[in-house]
Order: sequence, then C-alpha cells, then structure tokens
Amino acid sequence: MRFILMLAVGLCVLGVPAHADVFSIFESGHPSFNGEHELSVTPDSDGIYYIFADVNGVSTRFVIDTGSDDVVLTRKDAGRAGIDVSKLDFSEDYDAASGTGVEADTTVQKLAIGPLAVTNFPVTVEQEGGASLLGMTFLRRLKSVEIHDKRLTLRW
Amino acid sequence: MAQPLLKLQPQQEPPRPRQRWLVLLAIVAAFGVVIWALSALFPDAISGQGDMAGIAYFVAWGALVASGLVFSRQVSVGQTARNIALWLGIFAILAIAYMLKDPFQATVLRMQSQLISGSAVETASHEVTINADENGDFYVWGSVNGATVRFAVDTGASDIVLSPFDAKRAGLDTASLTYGGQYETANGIGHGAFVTLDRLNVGPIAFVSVPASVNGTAMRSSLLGMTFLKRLKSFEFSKGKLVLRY
Repeated sequence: MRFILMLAVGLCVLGVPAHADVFSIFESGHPSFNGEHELSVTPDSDGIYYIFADVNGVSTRFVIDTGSDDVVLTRKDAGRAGIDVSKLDFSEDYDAASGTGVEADTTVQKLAIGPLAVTNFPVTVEQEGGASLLGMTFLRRLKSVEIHDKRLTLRW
Repeated sequence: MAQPLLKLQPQQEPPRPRQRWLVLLAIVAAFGVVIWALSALFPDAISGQGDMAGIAYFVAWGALVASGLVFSRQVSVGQTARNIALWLGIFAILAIAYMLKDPFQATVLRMQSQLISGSAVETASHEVTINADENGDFYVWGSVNGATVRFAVDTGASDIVLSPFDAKRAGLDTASLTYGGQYETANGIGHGAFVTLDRLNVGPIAFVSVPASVNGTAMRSSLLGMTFLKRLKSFEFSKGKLVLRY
C-alpha cells in the first residue's frame, strides 16, 4: 500500500514539470464536439468563453475574443508552440484597455481545435499579454459563432 | 551690361528690422504669459505629451502669423484695425459654433449611425442585426444615459467597459471615481472603476442599472462585453452579420 502511494506521488512529481498543463483539465474551455462541423464550450466563472486549441501541436488556452482583430499569442504560449520569440520584431503598436503595447507578426504552421484546423495562419505575438486570444481573423472564417443558453457554439 | 528684369519699387515704409523683431518678441512673450496664466487657472487642462505637442504646434503657427503681421511691408493702422475686427468676428462665430458643438455632435452621431456600419437595425421582433465594418469587426452604436457611444462587441471582455471619454459624455464624474478594479488585458494589468449605468441602449434593446467599469486610461472605443452579451437570449454572427436576440 505504502509502495503504491509512494509510486503515485513519485509519478506526479516527475510528471507535473513535464506536463505543466495537466491541471488544465480543471479549466473551462474544453470543447465538446457535436458532430463533424460543430463544437461548443461553456463559459468560465467570469462569463468569458475560453477554448483549448493546438498551436503547432501544443495545447494552448485561448479567449474567444470578438474584440481582437487578430489571433494573438502571449510570449509564453508562442514559445511553447516552438516560435523563437527572441527573433521576432516587436515593432507594431496596438491598443489595449491598459494602454498601448508592441506586438510582432508571425505565422503558425497549424492551429487546430479537433477537426477544425487552419494551416500557415498569421498570428501576432504580444510583448506583455496575459492571455492568448482567438480573434476575428479566425472567427470570421467560420460559418457561424453563436452564444445561446450559456453555451458558445462554433460551426464550420 | 544686362538690365535688371525687374526694377524694385522704392519701399514706401522702409523696414526697421530691429524694432519689428522687438514687436514680434513682445507678441510671443504676451502669448507665453497668456498660456502660463491659463495653465495656472486650469492646472488639469494640460496633461501628457500630446497636449504639449499641440501647444507647441499652435505656438509655431501663431509665431508665423504674428511675423507676417509684423514684417509685412505695407501696414496701415486702419487696414490692420479692419483686419483685426474681421478676424475677431470670425473667431466669435467659431466660438459660438464651439459652444453649440454638443447638440450638433449628437445630431451628427445620430446621422452617422443611420448611414454607416455599426447601426443596430431591428430586423424582426426582438431581433437586432449589426453589419460588420470594412475590416470585418463588429462595432455598434449604443447610448449610455442618452449619450451616443460606439462600442466594440467584445466577447473577450467580461465587463461593459467605458472609455474615460465616453464615461464623461454619459455624465459620469470620472475624476471622483476610484480605479480599484484590476483586470487582465492584452497589455498587462488594466485598472477600472466600477459604476452602475442608469440606462444602456443598443437599438431597441434597453437595460437599466447595468454594472459596468470605466477604464483608467484612454481607449479607442468602449467595449460591449459579456455582462451585456449574456443578458441576451442569443448572440450569433455569420457572414459579416451579427444578430442579437433579446
């Protein structure tokens, strides 16, 4: 019994740093697929809809954000997706509620939410952003985006 | 020997450069005193580099105009007086126009909202349609306490966020608010003040006593966030059209 417990603790200690996002299973934003061309997510406690998407194969949590023109990655998420952030040119200005900041344009090879996938997709990386944003360049391509009965549904 | 092509007329009033420079300097100094006095009277009016740049710009123009006045060759007192009267008249008309700008601006905004994208059009009973702008983004004209406000439809914002500019227009006293609320933005931590809006309208949709926040720093546009959107029956966009059902 003690051996099993120790083994479990040991596995957790080993496993957590390697997959720091294991706790993401407790976060909102895991889509449920309702057929081949439809998925939906439920809101977080603050009313915002998050969604997990794979950026170059790495699971990343995005805010579904109609207020953002672009798909935006934080520096951290861009780094995790294998983008060499140090080589980016942070020269473009953008406006945010807390003032202006700088961002850099780049491209991700693949952005996928299950079967909903785009390739060679333009994104911007923000110098100091708190959250990655699934903005209008992505959302506009879909057939529809709907919020109804505390559920956000994407159709494509 | 070639004759000069143009024979200069003897000047009627020979320039006295030193005196004229003194007059110009006096005018500039007088302007400086006026600006100083105004900034002493209204200490909050000049804030930030933008305003300083604006002052420098207008002072430069003022200096140019003044130098034209001082250094022009033929100046008769009568003519100058007439010109000054004329300019004062023009200035008075502009001042009156400026005083009337608020009702005028409101009318213009109302006209714009009918003509350009972003107007909330009632397309069926309890249904409003908003067209995307030329970039494919959704903005909508609404009103807060009767003041016309342009909102970005923003599912990424948990609150309704008013820019300080729009908050002032809606009659909120932005100076007396405490900006204690914190939220995450694309640019780090933002600060906002929690307020309750008496009236919020988007087309035929009307809400009263709506919780919102006033942003601590200037923003390009106010945000219609989830506190508004989740009060609706449904929100859907497809092919450049946003439909709100309520």
